[in-house]
Amino acid sequence: MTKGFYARLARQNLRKNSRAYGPFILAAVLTVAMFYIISSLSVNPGLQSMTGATTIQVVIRYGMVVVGLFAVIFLFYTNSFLIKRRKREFGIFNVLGLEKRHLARVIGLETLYAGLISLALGLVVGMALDKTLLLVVAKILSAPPPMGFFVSPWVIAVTAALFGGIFLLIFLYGIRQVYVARPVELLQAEHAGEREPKAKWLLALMGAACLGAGYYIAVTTTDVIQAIFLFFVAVVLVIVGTYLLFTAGSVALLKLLRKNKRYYYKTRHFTAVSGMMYRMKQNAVGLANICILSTMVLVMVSGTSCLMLGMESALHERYPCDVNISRSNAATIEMVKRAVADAGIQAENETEYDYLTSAAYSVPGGLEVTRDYTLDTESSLADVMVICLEDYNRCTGQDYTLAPDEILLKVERTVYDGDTLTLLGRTYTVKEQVEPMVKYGNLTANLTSTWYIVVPDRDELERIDAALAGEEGVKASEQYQAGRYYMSRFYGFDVPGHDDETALNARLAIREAWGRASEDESADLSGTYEIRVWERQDFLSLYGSLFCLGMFLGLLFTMAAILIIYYKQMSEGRDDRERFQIMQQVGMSRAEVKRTIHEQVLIVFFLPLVTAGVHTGFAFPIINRVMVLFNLMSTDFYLWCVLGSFGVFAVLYAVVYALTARTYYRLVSM
Amino acid sequence: MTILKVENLGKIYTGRFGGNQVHALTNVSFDVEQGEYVAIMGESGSGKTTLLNILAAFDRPTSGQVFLQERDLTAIREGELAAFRRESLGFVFQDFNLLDTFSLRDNIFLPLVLGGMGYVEMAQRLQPIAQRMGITDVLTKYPYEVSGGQKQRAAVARAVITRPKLLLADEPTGALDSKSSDALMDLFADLNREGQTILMVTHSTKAASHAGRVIFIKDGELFHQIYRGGATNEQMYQKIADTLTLLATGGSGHD
Repeated sequence: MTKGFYARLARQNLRKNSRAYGPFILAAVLTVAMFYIISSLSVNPGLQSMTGATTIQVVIRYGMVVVGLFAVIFLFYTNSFLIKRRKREFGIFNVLGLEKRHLARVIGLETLYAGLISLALGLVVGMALDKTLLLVVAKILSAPPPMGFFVSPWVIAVTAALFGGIFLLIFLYGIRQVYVARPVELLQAEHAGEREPKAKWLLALMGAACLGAGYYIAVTTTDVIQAIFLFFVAVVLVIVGTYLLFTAGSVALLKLLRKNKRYYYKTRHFTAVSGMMYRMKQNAVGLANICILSTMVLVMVSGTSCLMLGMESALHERYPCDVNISRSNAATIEMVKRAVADAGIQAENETEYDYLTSAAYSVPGGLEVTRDYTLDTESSLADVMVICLEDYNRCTGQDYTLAPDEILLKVERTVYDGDTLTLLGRTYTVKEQVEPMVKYGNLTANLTSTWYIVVPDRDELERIDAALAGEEGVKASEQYQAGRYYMSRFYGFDVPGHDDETALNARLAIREAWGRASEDESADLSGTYEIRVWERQDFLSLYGSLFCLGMFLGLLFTMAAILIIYYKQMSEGRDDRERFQIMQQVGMSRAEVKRTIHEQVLIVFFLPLVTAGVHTGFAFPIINRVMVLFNLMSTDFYLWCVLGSFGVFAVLYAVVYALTARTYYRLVSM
Repeated sequence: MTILKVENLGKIYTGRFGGNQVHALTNVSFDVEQGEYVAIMGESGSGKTTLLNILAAFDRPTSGQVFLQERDLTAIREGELAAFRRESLGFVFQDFNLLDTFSLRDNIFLPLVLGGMGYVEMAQRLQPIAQRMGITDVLTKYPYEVSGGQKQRAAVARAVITRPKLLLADEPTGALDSKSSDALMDLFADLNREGQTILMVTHSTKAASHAGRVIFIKDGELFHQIYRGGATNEQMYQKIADTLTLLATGGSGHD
């Protein structure tokens, strides 16, 4: 036999199995393209020149690792479907006289062809999409679109190496299947795996326990910093729980139903229960995969789109005024005011007040000021900001009065329901928890809880200032100028019409004045100035890149889910054809059979979607708390993002289902 | 009493594009009396299976009629067909057609469950049938766990548990070894003695030799039929063999 024979055979096999191989190669092409794009973005010089590119590229590098890992698992898994289906074919070749090493050669050539096609097409598609995506990213970052067409040999090499490795793995797996098995086993492989599944009660219970624990963590974790660590614990628990419940739990439940004879021996339940048991055994892992992929898509897309859509509100939280000068003092602010006025800019909505800030522990009944951060107490860490009533009323337009020892309170990122509050050895009565607070953005960027406290008068404020200094000890206070331990001043204003140009002009004026003033060494300058439009770029690059990555991975995972669905429909259709005929022969009408099978298929395919919905529902509280870390305070807003993502995903899922269902019915009624 | 009446049955298959027509059955007529055991023989492609499919209402004839106890099978509406099949007909197939997803017991229950019968009654019906089929011990097993003979006996149990007017069998011994075949044929003979009307399509001379009458089909037409009369199985076997020889050598055998 000549070498050309094997090549021809391999090509023929690919063509003959195109219904199964087609989607696999398509998936491989898309995965290659995705990997190429994301790797290319990570080194793209056009992107590097954009503002905030550093953040973006860190995020993209993470994405690269995720996509790479995903490619390995996904392609390997999809391929195992193919091999399983083709075992019989291998068996026939074997019987017809192809030795196993010849078979290995054929499989090798097939894999080589499939790999080369996927890689070549994938790179072409990738390069085309790469440019498109770059334009989209540039658009989101509101940067001028980078010109030219960028192709990096390094990226091509990395992509080729990764996918070469994956296809080598696939090849090794394929020949292993052939070498291990005897021809008879190969011939009958398709009929293997039809044994009745055993009910694994212990695993089912463990699955329920894992899922329950994961849900419990997600729902009950109230502390935001804990949430980040526990989030991963919850994710792992839910993933393990999902696999166990889909594999062991479903079978156990169905067996329980079957034991109930009065339920089981009803026309509708009879075929459904046994049919489902059989389907679950074959499909549990695939369905669990779909479920987890769907959950990832939902969480990622809803989270990142929420961040993106909510960016403006987060930006306003962090930078409440167009121009913000914080941790400053009266002299500096005078200088800023003059500079702004000299530049001919009319300051509007001016806010100015003195305040104290300190770190503290939140302890039962109050706050304990500290400078001594240790990890184990991190969870109860808090930021305190204290102002006096006069400034509060003036800046917020309120008209509160406070008796001595009374305070107003506003707490963020945690809940406090005590009637009194102890701070620095003094216990105050909480008169009211108030909603509007003076404009101050610095603390919203922190992970810890924030406590805004309004004390009755300036004397009290200064007393606390001194007390804070006392906590600190003399040494540390030397850093501060005498008599002004912690007291800072905030000054913020808006420019007319919130005009970006004017705000940037104000920035230039302040920067110039500040630079000039600091040449005088004796000048009492302190504080930082932050201009909202200027900072917007940073926000855009972080939120925008997270958004792009979320959409990108969402798309990738959706594609994976779609492909798994397709293969499921295909293999189900082949199996069901036989059942379909037998049931008709023993007296089930065509319509009844069709309905029964349709119902089962519907349950099987929408079970992962529903489960993914439930997972996302339980993930909601914990992710909502993580969102808070990104300055997104609105639960309603996130809820809409989740519902929106779920709606879009469900529609997409249903469309894919309907399309593949047609292939399925063609197979069944063939 | 005539239980099955086949009148001038014809079936023409037309190619997908209206091209070449194939006459699968031409003008086939015969009666089956209550309690009869009839075998239909013929070569591959002679139209046996087409005939059986029409008798089972899986397929509709191009011309002619089939009456099962005065009821015209060809006129039953699609919606009623399934129930009719379930209640009046029992099937035994060459490759058993048991569902792998059910235990033998549930496979046998299947037509009853579809008919909406309660569990207690089903269990009562099953008990004697399982006993005489010799499958009581394997009822909880699954089709892939038992032998071919046991599978076929379970299939027979499934066919007769509905107490059908007519038991249709399509090459029931086709996938069995000789010992299982003999046992199955004895079982059929027993069932027939108890009054079960049986119509069996078969290749096997041996299987057919158990029947009370053998109808031969050639090229879609009724070719010949022989009655057992008082003959033993061995004599019947000889008669069938002779007819088959005649059939193969191309004689015209209408008598």
